[in-house]
Amino acid sequence: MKVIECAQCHRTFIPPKFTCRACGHTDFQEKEVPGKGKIISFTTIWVAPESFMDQVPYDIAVVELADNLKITGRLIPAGKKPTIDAPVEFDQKDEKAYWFKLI
Amino acid sequence: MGLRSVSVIGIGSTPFARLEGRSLLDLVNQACNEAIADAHIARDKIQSFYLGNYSAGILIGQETLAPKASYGLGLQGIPPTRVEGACASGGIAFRHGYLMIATGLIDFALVAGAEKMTEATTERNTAALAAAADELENRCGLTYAGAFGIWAHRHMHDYGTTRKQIALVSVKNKRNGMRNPRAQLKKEITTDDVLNSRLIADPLRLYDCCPISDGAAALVLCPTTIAKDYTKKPIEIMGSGQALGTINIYEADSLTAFSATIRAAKQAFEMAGLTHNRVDVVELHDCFTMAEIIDSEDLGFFEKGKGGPAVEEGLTQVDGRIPINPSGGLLSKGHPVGATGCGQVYELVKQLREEHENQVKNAEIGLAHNLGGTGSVSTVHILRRK
Repeated sequence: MKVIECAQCHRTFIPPKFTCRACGHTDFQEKEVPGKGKIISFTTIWVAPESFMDQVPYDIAVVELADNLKITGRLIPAGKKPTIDAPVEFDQKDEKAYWFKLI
Repeated sequence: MGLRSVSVIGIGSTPFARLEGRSLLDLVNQACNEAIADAHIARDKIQSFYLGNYSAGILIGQETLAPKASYGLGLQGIPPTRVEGACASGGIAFRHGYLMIATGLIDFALVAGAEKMTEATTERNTAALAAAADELENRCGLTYAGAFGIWAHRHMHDYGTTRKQIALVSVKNKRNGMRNPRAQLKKEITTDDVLNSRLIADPLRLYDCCPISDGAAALVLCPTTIAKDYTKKPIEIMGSGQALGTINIYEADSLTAFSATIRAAKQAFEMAGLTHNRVDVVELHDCFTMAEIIDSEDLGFFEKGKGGPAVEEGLTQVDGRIPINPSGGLLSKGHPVGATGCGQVYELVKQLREEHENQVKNAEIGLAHNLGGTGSVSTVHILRRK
């Protein structure tokens, strides 16, 4: 999974930043990290914005990867309810979301 | 720091409701004229106007609202300023009116908050709310109810907070709202009603969510030294805090606390020179039931994790140890986004004047807490009867 790393202090971020929140540096480089993590919380959306209504119900999870790196993403429907601490793996990123699958 | 003491000398508010056929400027006008009349001042005394409004551009296609509103009120040549911080817009406006007087720049400020939501299409309301959210979280289909669903699940996991305790926030606030003529949802409901209402974002259901509303509230402020010339019951602003939190869920250190609230509360309590034990009544930001439990802990009224049991034990009822949202809160009163922060101060001033329809006994010190965005910005104000 590709993330952004501050060129000065090496703190990692997922969505790109203009300024490093840790050291104030403004140059970043791409870094590959393992996409394995766990769910730290989740919800199932039943009432969605109009453009998402055809997808309800859908699961959104906050996933913690290595190095305390966290991201909010979608769970690939797997027919089971997500739980806190459930292990997940990064699947893909598209124009909508970072997608994770329960493992 | 050499700040002057400032007091609220006038208050005004429309009902918070679906106010069909009434424009945003009409609502601002009503609330402001009421506040000016309540303060017994000539309007040419007003030296500054602050307006909290979140999203009139998207919702009703109107911008440049502060000049329009102050011109409409017959104010002449004063500096008009609109501020925006999502659901905390009203609290931020109040703080800036306060600061202008506290720092000695002016003597009289008019502060208002307003939003017109119910006549905008669902599409525009969705777009307006989404505009406050983190782009990545917004794009994946997260809603604000969903964000509070995420925080609720983690709070339940870490502290054993029960679904019933969360539901009881709504039961309490709707009961409080029944006595408030400005409240939108006046309905006695039971825990079962909450738990059987339709799912919005697991674990939160319809009765866990505040309604969409129209409304405006306004306040007149002046230095405490001259406040008694205008009102028998000036309400002093003892402390004011405003702080940044995180602008998304995933970069926050905690999923069970809002750092913006904790920081704003610390500033306000330090300025006031007191601790949470001295507060008699609280109006806090219960946009969802879960928010009230988290806020009540972040503000220091309960240890982290004890907010749920506190509701169940009745500690936050109007006759409890620390009454929270005797107005009905956002859950019952409604949430015209930009108006909410000023509406909370309006309700507190009525409490501290001992004129509230759902009066807390012997209320001398009150706290107002406003939260905007994804825990992004918060204001806390501490007020007392002089």
